[in-house]
Amino acid sequence: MLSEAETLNTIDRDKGNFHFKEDYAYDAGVGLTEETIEYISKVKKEADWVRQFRLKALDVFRRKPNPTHWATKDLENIHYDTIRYYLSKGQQPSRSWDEVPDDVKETFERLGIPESERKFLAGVEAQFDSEAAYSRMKDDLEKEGVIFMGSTEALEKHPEIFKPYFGKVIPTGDNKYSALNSAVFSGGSFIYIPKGVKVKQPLQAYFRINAESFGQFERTLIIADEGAEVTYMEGCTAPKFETSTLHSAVVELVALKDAKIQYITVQNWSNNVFNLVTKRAMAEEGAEVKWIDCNIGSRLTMKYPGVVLKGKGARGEVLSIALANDGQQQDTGAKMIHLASDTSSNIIAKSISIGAGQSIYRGQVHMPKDVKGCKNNTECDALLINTNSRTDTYPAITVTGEGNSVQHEASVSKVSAEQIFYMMQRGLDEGQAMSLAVNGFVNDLIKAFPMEYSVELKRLIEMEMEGSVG
Amino acid sequence: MIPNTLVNNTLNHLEGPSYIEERFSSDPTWVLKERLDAWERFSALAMPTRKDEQWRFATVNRTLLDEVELAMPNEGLLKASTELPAAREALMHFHFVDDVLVTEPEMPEALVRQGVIISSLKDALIHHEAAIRPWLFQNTTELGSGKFEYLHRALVSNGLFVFVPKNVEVSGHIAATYEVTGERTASFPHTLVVAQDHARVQILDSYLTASDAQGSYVSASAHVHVDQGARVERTAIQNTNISTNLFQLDSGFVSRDAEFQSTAINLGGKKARYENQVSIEGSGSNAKMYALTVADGKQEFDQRTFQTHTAPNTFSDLLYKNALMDQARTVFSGLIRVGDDAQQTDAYQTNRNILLDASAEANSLPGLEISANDVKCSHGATTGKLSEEELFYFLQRGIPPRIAKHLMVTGFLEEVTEKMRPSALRAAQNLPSRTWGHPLSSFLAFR
Repeated sequence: MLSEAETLNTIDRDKGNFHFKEDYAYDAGVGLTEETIEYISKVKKEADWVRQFRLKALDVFRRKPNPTHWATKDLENIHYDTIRYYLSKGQQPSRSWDEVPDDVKETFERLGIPESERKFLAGVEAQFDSEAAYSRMKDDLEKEGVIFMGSTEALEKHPEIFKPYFGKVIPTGDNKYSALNSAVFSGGSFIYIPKGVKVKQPLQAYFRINAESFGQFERTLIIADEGAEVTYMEGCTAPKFETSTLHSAVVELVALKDAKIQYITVQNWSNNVFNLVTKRAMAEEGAEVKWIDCNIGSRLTMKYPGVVLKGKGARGEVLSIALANDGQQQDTGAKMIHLASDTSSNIIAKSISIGAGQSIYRGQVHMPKDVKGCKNNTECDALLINTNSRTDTYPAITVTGEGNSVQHEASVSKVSAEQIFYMMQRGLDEGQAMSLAVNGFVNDLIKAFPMEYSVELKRLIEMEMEGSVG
Repeated sequence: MIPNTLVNNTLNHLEGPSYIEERFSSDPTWVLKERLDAWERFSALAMPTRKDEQWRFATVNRTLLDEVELAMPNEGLLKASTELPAAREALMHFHFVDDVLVTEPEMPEALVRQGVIISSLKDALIHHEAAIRPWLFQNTTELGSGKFEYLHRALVSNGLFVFVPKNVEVSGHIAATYEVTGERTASFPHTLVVAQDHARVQILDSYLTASDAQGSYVSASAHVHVDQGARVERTAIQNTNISTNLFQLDSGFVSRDAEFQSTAINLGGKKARYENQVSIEGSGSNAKMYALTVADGKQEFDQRTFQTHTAPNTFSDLLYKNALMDQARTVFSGLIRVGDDAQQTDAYQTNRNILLDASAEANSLPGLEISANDVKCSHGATTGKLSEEELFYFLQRGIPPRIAKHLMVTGFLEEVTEKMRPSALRAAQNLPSRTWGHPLSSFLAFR
């Protein structure tokens, strides 16, 4: 095992903070109008229904106000008319790293993507601004009928599979940002796992913002057919620009009868990114959906992964870790909508606020009249490191029906002086002791992540903790 | 029936300023000014909608204020409808019928000598103007019902004023019963309690409506000021009939080393909105907020609470328990706010709901906003059914299901009743029952 100091030396703490000069073949310009959408649709050579879908969404986006009556006023600092909505080099996703343009390849190499692909992934997609630069899946999966491609390609090649579910789990009008995404979406992963196919290694997507004032709006739709199983991971980084950047994704998961989907996010955007993401899954009879959501970066994150438990005996789970440092607001949470009997859900959310950081848990659990025997368990724990750190908790729980039960617990605390004293008395300095205590706080949750991610996560947390004591 | 000189003059159509100037012409000018000011604010504020965050999950009747009229009681016709249990053990009992005092409570001579004031609000404005002036109309709800609070302030005509000077302990409780007898009548009960440093006092407020008083509107307000080292307990029992629209907009202020316990028993009403905010503003202070609710039929209980900690070394504990039957609905929305300077705060908030029928609905929104780090704060919310195992145990002992369930609900609520003083609990137990099969107060365990 590496010592603390060695561990910190081996990782590049600002590894996302670099960018290459911009030379884009396609650029939809600044601001959002009907022309922007026509341009995107034309570049992508989309079917007319997709274009219509986009135009309708633009209308919804314009009509919906920012939800500042319950969310932060910081949303008003997003200037939609100064954002660039589509940028691409005109690349087709390459199947081999050798074909990827040098600067893009170097970007992903510096982030360690090809290396992880070789080590433990079943498939990788790497998105650079609006479009994927690289997309590859192991050959045997392709033979089994697994589909893993970008949104444009998938809607063009397999409309019969994706169109019935596209925009159904998260309708355009769900919120202002899902409408925005529906209008200008580009990139993301569309995945179909056929009946009974169990993908053993995870599929991964990597999202990268390279250009300043650029908004990334990827769209992901994962369908696991009856009895299928899949794990999907996503990571995101962006350089630290002067101006703020917007990332607004829509992620829809469909788990058909007895299917299992696990969706893992490690969000490490730089601290100028507004990260406003809508994620929801639909779980049919006996299906299981697990969201593992880790938010470390961004200026403001608003994200509440949800599961609509639509079939009898379906299970939903959200495990969430949020870390808010100076100037950051992590407004995260979970939604569990129990629409069928004997469904169960579990939410475990842990947050750490450092310096003037603010973390918020916002949740919804809903059990309507005609369901029976449903269960939900929610635990939220918040850790406050400094005297000026802040945490808020806002759950909303509605229960009716027969034999349904919900329990919600939340607690707020700081690292106890006794713990720190004990560790210091054993020879650790205060910073190390604090870091260890914080790692202990999130340890149960981190264990739920795949090994490679949990190591990375622990390091990220250690880095964020640096300088927070004293 | 009470003759009403304002026929067809509902609250929304009232010529506020001229009505206020005429009806309250004998008020001191500063009170009159407050009333007119409040009326203006009331008129300027829009009716809340469910889209307002503070009205989430609530059923809002947009035409509520078009449906009720002001009581203009003929004092000669009024008398207490029943001998009330709250009266029996009270040190003093104020019984208001349609906002008119119908009893003549006598103040013990010893308390008069110590400078204690226990008076109806109306008399206090005449005889104790200097004592009441710093406190009256000083506080407004922050929990969403501002419009209704201003209306209350503009039109309140009576209530209870208790002022306990430094180091005086009032033994036994002071009771006020507010009863409405008129149909579609508005009533504005007001309780104002000031306990100066190290004083002690207990208050018991009861809100009732006569069974034939259909569609009344009761907008009660209670403000309790607990100065340094003082101790105040206030219990509010609400058992209005099931056609009543009720608001209870309460606030408490707890200074250094002071203690305040607020307990609510909620049984009646068609829609009952209860806003309870306690400001914990002195180091070493301690606030407790307890409530139990038994909801059945189509009743809706909408409870909003707020625990604000602004000083270090403070403690607060909240426990709201709801038992729901039939198609009843409850909303519990609570918030603990711990300010930057309130280090070493312990604050707790618990909401427990038990659903006895499949069509009952419990909503729970327990919230925390914490800006200090050296704190112990937690909240918990649970909603569930009666335990099958416990029920099985009763049945296996030969106790029929109906009685077993009754006992289990009684047991569920006992966690709140055991925190009440026996005298307050007895008052609740002996409440006149409403029109249904069994008196709800039978759920309140004897001790």
